[in-house]
Amino acid sequence: MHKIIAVGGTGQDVLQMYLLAYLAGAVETPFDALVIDADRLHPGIAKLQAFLDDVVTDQARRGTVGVALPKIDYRQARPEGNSVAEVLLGRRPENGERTAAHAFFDTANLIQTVDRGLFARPALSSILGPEVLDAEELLPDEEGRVFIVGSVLGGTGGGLLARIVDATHDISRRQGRDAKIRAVIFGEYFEPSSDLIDRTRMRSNQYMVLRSLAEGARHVHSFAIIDAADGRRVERDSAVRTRIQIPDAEDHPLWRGVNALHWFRGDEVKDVQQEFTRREREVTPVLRLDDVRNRLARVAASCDTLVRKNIPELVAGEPWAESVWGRELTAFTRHALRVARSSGARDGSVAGARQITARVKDLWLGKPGTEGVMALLPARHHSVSPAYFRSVRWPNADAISGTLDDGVLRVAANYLFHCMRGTIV
Amino acid sequence: MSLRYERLVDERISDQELLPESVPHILHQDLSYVWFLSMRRELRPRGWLARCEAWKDLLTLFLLGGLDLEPIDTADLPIQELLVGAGFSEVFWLKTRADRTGVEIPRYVGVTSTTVLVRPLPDFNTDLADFLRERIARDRRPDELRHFARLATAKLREVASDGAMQLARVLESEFDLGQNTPDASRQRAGQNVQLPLLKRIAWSGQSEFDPLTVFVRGDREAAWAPQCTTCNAFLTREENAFPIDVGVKAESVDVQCRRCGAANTIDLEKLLIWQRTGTEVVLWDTADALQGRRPPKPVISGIDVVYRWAPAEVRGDTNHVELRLRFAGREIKAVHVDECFFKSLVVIGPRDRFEGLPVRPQWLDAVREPESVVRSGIQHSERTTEYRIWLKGHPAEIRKSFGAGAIEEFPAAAVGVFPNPDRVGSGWKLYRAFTASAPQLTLQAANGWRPLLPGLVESRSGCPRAVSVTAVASENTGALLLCPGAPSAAMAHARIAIDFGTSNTLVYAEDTDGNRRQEVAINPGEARSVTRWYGAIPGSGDPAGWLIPTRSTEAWDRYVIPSALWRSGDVAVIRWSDHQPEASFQAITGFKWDRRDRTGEFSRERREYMREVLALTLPVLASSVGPIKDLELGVTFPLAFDHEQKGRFRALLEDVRNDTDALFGIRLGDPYSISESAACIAAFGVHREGETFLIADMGGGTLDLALVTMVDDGAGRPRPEVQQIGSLRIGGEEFIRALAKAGNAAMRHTAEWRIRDQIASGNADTMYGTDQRVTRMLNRFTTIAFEYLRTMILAHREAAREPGAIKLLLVGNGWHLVDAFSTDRRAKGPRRVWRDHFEHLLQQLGLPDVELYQDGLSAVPSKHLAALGAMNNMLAGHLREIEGDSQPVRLPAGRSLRFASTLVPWSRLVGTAERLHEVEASDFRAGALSVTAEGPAVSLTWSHHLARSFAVAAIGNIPTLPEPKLRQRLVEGLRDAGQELAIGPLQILVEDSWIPTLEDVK
Repeated sequence: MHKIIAVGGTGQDVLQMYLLAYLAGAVETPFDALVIDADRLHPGIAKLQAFLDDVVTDQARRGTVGVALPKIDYRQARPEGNSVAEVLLGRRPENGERTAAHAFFDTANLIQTVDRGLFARPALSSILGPEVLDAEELLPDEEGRVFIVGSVLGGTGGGLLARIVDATHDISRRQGRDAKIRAVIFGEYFEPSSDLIDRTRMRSNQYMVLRSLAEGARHVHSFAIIDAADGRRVERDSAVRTRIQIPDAEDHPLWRGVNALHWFRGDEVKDVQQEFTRREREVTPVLRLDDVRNRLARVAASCDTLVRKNIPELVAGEPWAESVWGRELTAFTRHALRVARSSGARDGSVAGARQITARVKDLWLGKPGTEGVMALLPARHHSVSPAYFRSVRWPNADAISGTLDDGVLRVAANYLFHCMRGTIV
Repeated sequence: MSLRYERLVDERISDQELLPESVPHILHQDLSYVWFLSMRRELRPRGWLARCEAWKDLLTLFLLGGLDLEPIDTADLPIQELLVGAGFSEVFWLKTRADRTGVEIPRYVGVTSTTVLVRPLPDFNTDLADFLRERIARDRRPDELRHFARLATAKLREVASDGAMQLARVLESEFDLGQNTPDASRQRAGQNVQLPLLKRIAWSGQSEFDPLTVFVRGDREAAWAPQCTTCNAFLTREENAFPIDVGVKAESVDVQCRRCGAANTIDLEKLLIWQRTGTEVVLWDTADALQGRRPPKPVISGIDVVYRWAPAEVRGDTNHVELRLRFAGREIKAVHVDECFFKSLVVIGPRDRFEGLPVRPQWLDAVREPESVVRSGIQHSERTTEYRIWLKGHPAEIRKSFGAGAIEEFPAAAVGVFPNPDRVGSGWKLYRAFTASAPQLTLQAANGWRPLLPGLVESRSGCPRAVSVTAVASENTGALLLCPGAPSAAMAHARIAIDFGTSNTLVYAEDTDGNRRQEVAINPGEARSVTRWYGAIPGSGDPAGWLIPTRSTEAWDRYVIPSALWRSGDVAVIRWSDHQPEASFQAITGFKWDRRDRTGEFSRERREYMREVLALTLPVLASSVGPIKDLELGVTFPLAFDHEQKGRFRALLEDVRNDTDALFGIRLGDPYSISESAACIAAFGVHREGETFLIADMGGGTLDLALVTMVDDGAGRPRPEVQQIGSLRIGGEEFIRALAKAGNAAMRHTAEWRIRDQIASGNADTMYGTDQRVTRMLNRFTTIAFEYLRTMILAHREAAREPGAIKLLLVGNGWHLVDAFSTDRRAKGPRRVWRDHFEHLLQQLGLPDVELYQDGLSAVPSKHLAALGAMNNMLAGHLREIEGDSQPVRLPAGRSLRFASTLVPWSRLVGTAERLHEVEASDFRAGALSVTAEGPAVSLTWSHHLARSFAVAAIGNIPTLPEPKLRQRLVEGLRDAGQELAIGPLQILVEDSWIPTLEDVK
């Protein structure tokens, strides 16, 4: 699977959308995503991460009934300590004291607290020890295709982009692989705000980080720079996004970033250009915003119908199930009931189906205090006909063999997952 | 195809504020510098223009050797792990050097850089930029800068990495080097600095670095190498060639030219070598360029000193680059010239007149002609004091400048050397140096001085060349004060006479006034003018004078020397004031006698005291008569000295003779000696035959009495014939003790000293004079003495066939307590007060034909008579009475005695000179005596006066000793063999009964 490394807040924003595009079937092939950020994992990504983990029935292959699933890992890149000086010196320097740290950082940076991130100062990433990047997590697949998404504006993206490129290349080389690293780099795309970053620092970071990439990050195979189209910067706030917001416009920088990522994934491998500036690629949009939005609306509607109509229960109790729901869904449901029974579900098809339905509801609607997957998707739903469920390419549930831990949950998750993906497997 | 990257990175950024911390690496500062320095100036961000200029200034200082490198200590710090992880080797702080004045301390201005060699500190501000610019303006050498910049560029091009080439281009552009290669003919001394140069940046993991050697200017020019005076070839040798031997104490070494064979002589000075002694060789280390004639820094290898030149410094000769000198049997020490100097200068007195040197005392011998430095090598400006000094073995003048921050001024302080060597001649051995009004200063035990106190050092082997004074707070802050030399050998012959008193001592000397000789008292205050002073000379009354007297002009008698010492261990100095030299010092007085009633033996104190008196007065005398070679000494001693005491006094004189020889280099003849009483007689010279004098000399301890009649000596000249003579234990000290007893018993000792000091300083009147009790005590004190004098006079008249008029001569400072304590002293004058008091007493006696004798004594105080007498004895009498038996005593009994049936009348003289023939020997031996109350008749006025003085209704009530006790004392004085009675009953009454009543006065 392609390795996607989402760095910082912008990287997470793009990954969230890309995950949805995947769930909606607009993105067909799964991927191995690694989120690196000083902030916590966006709740939406975390929810999808949990959901996809529930779908897994084949741990060894990280998939379910013949289908590989995206994987999402998260690594927090945050130094331990109160201030930069304390991280570097192990103590708080005296007022006016000249320490070894003063040879490398000015006082304003040394007194910067780091308990909430790197505060738009890329240089502070250098105080993160080598353990911040895990070699195993960075290692790409056999093809060596790695896609990095992040902004050069902030402290995390600006501080770690080049470092991740280097580290990925090094680990790949040590494993005998030739990493082909492509990068989606966000430039000045949002309007600075006082609680986030000021314009001076943003522009300074943009210039200096881009120069840094050119100076040393020669392992970038190709890259695209995303910034405000025609100088129109978008609004952005510092709040961590709970819901995945799909932009309204095709030229929204984040959507262009999603498109660039997807475009790179389909890009043919070319010889790397010697000159760094010639490695920049012009991205042709391959995901249409309307299509993805329609797909997501369909996903929301179908899953909502699955839950509200108690489809698993209906299938289990329908004497003419194959005629009504189609052979694949009926077979899937029957096998699901067996799996559920073997996992301790109550005997009896209807009872077992109720249990499965209840878990599907939990996953979709959520439980008290916990939102379900539904919260990630567009709010307005419409009902879908049973024909839709017949058209879904339900997997051959026979492939789900043996005893699963928490089989009811996994069966329920598979119901939802395949319902989302529809005809895509 | 131009996409976003080029537009974003290449767009004009001169208006942008670009922050180093925007670079995602711990090398963010270094990368920022190299990026912007690589741009054309007009394209650089404005915010970086000042930084780039500062970088240039910093690199200039670095290349010209103006910066020191100090490793950045990251040991045990978390940052070390990060640096190691990033592939760093050592990084250095860059700091400016302290200038030689010490005014400017090193300042940290930057660090070494892996991209641009050096860079300013991250905390960059305009202050740092200004500082660097100022340093450049001061130190820059444009022609040399290009030379070293070209060398660095050439090295960078050798490295040839992208970064190195980029930096080389930056240097060529910034320093306008063009493409020229370094000028090989301009060899300059310097040093190689190893710096890692970034070869490949690793954003994660270890970056790669190329080693780069940068040759920076050293502190000195190209090393000087000796050359043959004939053929100009360098006189260097092959490495490890056999060493050239250098002779002991030689100032040069002979070297044969290996090319032409000519013999050459190299001054060791040119090689910075000074053969200090026959066993010690000093190898100077210096930061001085020596006007381009500095040899390479040598290596000491055992007894060899090895100089090694770079081939470029000897015309590229790679084979002959060494010169090895051998100093067999000597120890070679490398010494930095700065070690010879104090870091900060102590300035005593006004700075514009300060003549001290900044040389540490142990290195005075290294200074060439230090006196000429004092004469013409010191320049004081408003803020600095600069010295121009030559050191032996150092080929160039050393300029040592002290700015305001390196000078500690003590404008009111002084240092004295006593005596001034130019007054006493080369034979004088005992010298002292001391501080005055300078508790923050201390004197160093160096150059031959031995420490006595922090502010007092002493030499007993002549005057050392200098005195080193340092601040108490720091031995690195000090100055060296040169002492004058002794001009010549002593030639003068001198005479002095000493009246060693219980409380005070007087010294008279024979002085010359033109061709006229005269006897003068030596004023110890003149010692100030015989002192070599540095700084603010203490004035009279200045409390600084604890070693050299600075008594007020109000002093009671400016000629007297207190018979008192400050003493601690083996250090003893005259107690001039209550200024205690140090807490361990104890005040001692009353050591003139080893008195029977006091424990302890004082021969040591007497010797020390006499040494101090002579040490003080002889230089004063020498200042008028010239350095003294031979000395005659006349002394007085108490008439009451017994045989044993005389023996001790003789021993004292022998000690004085030895000390005078050993400490002052003066030969002392056999001293002349005369009793104090006789001295007083001798003092007032020749009188008419038939005249009778009663001389009463009251000092601190005794009242010495002599009643003499002038008779024909057989040659037609009058001579004094002693009728009565003796000594009573009454003196000023008895009065002081009685006065002190009135206070707190625990503070009695302190009170005694306070009273003595007030008397000496002339303040006793204001302190005690208004107290009527004191007046009454003094009245009783003098009345008791006069009662005895009255008895003597009446006894004399009873015995004499033709009693004539008696002239009463009151001698000694004991009588002057009257005027010292009088409140009328300042209004009437002390002499008038004195005269009025005793004339009144004399009048009260009611004795006809007794007058207070003052003729011929108006010029000198009566205290001086004994000393004058001693002087006269030395000139004319030539007596050495101390060699003979004790002076026979004869004084009236004062009260009638009865031995069995024999009556001894009150007027009968008793004492060692009188045998009581009328008493049966058996009665005498049995001591069968009793005392009657019968004494001389008393006049009405005296009777009233006596009663008033003793505060009794009638004289019969005057206290007396109980008869048994009086009898016991008399018996103790019986000398069976000679039928002598040592002392009479009246004397016992006076000493044991009446004087003790002083403390009871209400």
